[in-house]
Amino acid sequence: MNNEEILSAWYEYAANRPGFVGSALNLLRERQEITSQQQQMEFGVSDQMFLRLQAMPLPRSRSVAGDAHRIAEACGLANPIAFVQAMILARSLEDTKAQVDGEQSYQAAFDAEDDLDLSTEEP
Amino acid sequence: MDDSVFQQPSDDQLHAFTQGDPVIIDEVIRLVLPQIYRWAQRQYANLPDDEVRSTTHQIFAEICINHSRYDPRRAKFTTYVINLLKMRLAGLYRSLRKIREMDDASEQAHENQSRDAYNQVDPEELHLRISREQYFSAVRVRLEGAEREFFELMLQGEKNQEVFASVLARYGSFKDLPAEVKNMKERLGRKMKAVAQELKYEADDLLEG
Repeated sequence: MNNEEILSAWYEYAANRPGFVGSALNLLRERQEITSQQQQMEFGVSDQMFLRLQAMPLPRSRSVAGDAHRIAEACGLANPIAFVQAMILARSLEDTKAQVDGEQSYQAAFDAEDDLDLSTEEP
Repeated sequence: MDDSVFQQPSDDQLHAFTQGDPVIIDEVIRLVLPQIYRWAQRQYANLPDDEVRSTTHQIFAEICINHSRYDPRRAKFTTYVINLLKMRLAGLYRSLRKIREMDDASEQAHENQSRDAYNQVDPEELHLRISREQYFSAVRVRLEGAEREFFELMLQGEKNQEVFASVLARYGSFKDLPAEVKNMKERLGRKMKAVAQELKYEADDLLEG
């Protein structure tokens, strides 16, 4: 295998792993009900570079826009703004999900049917 | 191991790597991964190439996610990667060796049992059942994610293609899902045969029933 073949295998692997851009784009596709091809066209990128894009590590939380713009440049996207917006939205969705999960666990504690204060028996 | 033969990232790249800069992490991976993969292929030539590639990918993914754990002051980057890879592949060797030892022990147990006049179990069936479990365990440790789920479904005798497709859909977006399910099953089949060859089993015998 030459270097490009070795790296292509890596891109295929990383594109479906948590912590990489592919996982965030997958989340967005589910929410927006769009296909991978539609996303690729929106960003304006070739098949090979779209794969490489998905294998990039996610932008850092403290610099989502800046990192996303540099990722877009490194992958030669014709529409880097679309990608930056996608990464900001994906980050927002992740933060919301984390908040909802946390709230649900707290709410579950209050939704318990039995009022232990009224119980006369030891649990 | 003298890793000076490897091309190293620059100090600036390494600093940015530890800070989690995604563009620089990609640059470092593009520089180092092909070198490490070729090294691992040579060093572990007796392991299936799929296994070496899969383990290399796992290590690099973990290193990318846990970028702050690498300290450039303590080791060269390639030394760090190789040490992690060696530990992971050594674990795999130990698992395979344990399987072989269990197989030897079960053969002895089988001989003892077959001498018992009251033993109603068919010796060949018992040996095959023990060997199957060991083989399936050996396969299982090499799989993760969708591959492992596919494997468990196949062991349960699942025939419905939509079940496999729904599993695969959870791991990514694919242009042609039925084709990807077929590809995944073929890859899994090759891995299982490779394990069977290593353990010197007849794969067809193990997969029947």
